[in-house]
Amino acid sequence: MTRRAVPGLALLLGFSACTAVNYTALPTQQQQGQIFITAQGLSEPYESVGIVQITRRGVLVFGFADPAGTDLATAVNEVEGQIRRAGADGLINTRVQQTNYTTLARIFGLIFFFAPLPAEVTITGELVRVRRGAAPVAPGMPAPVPVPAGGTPL
Amino acid sequence: MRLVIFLVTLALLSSCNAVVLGVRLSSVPQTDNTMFLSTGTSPRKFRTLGFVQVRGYGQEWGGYGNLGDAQLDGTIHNALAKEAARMGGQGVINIEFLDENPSTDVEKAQRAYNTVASTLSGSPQIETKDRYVTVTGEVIVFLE
Repeated sequence: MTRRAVPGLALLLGFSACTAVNYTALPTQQQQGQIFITAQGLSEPYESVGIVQITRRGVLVFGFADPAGTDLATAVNEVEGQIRRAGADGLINTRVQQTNYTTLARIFGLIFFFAPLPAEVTITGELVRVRRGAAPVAPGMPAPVPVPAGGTPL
Repeated sequence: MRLVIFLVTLALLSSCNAVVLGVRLSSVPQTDNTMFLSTGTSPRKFRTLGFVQVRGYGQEWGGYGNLGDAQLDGTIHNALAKEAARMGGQGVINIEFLDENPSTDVEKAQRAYNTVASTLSGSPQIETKDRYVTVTGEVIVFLE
């Protein structure tokens, strides 16, 4: 019975673990609504402050432990710091790239713990300062975006 | 146990954070007559002329010196803008950029240290690293 169950469970695991999910909310938006991070453009007039790229690299120890903080939440926190340091109001047209491992790959990482899995997360975007009081830009601009009340998962 | 400690230490030491900053692009509405550069769309009606992708190559010398086009600013404001102007474009929108292998502060300091150490030991050798930056954009002309 056990002999049949083990390969069956392994097979089930193999087929059910093909999707890796990562998400993060934006704590600042939820708490204060002061700065914004969005994957879209901006409907209001703005002043470009610069472009920024944050890259965090490290390894996953034992397949699951992430001591280097190569997850989305840590990277977004870093982005928040950069927005504040630059004196910007937010980051627009944000793009995210992250190393994703399926559960099966992580289990292999646990078994072959002597070969840690490389992990990396990169966030790029344009730092902007909203021109408050200026007339909105009408033609050709994308839908209104920023500062959703509850934060938007990236 | 020693192996575990070694692996954890290795993981912590190898963790790194690289921040790459570039100068500002065009503001909206545009306040000057230079080429319109934006990571977003255009504030005015436009016609698309084509798409451009630039892969800047350069080298980092001794951790802090840079040679070539592997800087976000140089690749966007020089190579990309020049190519767009050559196509007859007035702007580049939906710009996407990626510094493919940015160096962390620790890596830069390590290369600088190795360079200085090798120089002091009598066999100077500047540590270099190949650097790549990829930038993509949509070249447009304004219709109004």
